[in-house]
Amino acid sequence: PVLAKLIPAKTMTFTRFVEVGRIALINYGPDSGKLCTIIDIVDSNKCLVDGPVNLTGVMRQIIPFKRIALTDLKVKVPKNARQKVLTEAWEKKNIAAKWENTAWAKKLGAKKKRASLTDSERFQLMVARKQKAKLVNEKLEMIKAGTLVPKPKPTKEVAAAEPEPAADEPAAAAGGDY
Amino acid sequence: PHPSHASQSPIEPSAGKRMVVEKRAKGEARASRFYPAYDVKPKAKSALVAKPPKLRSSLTPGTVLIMLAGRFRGKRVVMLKVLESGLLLVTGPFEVNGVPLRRVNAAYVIGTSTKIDVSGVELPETVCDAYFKRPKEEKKKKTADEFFAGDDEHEGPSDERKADQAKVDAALMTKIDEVPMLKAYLGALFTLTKGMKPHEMKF
Repeated sequence: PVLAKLIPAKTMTFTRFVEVGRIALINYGPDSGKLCTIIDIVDSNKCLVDGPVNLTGVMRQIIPFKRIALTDLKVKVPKNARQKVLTEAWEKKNIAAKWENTAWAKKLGAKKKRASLTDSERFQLMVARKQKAKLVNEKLEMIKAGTLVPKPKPTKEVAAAEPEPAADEPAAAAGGDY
Repeated sequence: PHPSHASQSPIEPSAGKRMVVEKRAKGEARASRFYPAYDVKPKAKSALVAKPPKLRSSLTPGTVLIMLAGRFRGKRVVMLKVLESGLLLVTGPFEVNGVPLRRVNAAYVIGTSTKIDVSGVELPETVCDAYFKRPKEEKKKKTADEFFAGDDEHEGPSDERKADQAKVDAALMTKIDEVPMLKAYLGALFTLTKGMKPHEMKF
């Protein structure tokens, strides 16, 4: 909203606002799991929402805030925008693709996938996890034995400093003192 | 005329013939002295014919099943066909998980969505319900010595069974080896772990 522009973003504790054009995820009800756009606010408890229907399957309806969860995404539409206008705004901002790329959407998708696995797929998943764990443990044993030195993750602070494990190694070799 | 003499014809002066009532065989019921109070229709033989057994749609030949009860509970097994009695004919295959050619009740089985093409697997003609039916043992009264002697040792499967098993499994294994990880899948047991809700799971 307007206030967001006056106060610098870094100091704002809230970033997702209920506003016209805010994209929200419906959590409860027959449309749960679908995205919708807030196009008008009724009162302190409910808002008018539209899919748009052709993109998300959510029809124009009044929905209480308790049933929706706000996302980071927003489109610029006037109050009570028509479906045509909404659709254009969604496509211009490429909201569908942006949503699919968020970690939130990916987690929801993973949950759905996990629930829909068949018995055979569950078995294959179990085998894959065991193989991955085996590989990880092999490397871990090597690190513990000192035969493998893990490369540090490149961060801005560590870039200049000496890599930590290299410093640890001579310390470990000389560790016979204690 | 008296009903017990019903089989006797009225005494006629026919040339030399005389009707005699057949002597009742030992153990046969005596003929009743009375006619039934109302006319009794002779019971007609039932015209009902047993239909081929109908199963839920997930159970088709070649489906991998999960056994839920009995000696092989938890085993994943290949269904071969439906027998006339309505029981399913399954096999491990034996070398994969130790389940032989066996009958199993469809109620104690989960049909998974994994299917194997068993069109090429030929079942011996002799394999049917009678093949598996346990032969009735004579009940003998044991003497005191026999009672304490203990039961006879179980003989293993007959040679016929072993031969049939080998034949069916050989054909089935070629199909199983074609699919990656299927052999390992059939060899593994099905278990429920924490958080698994069978009514919410897909098989």
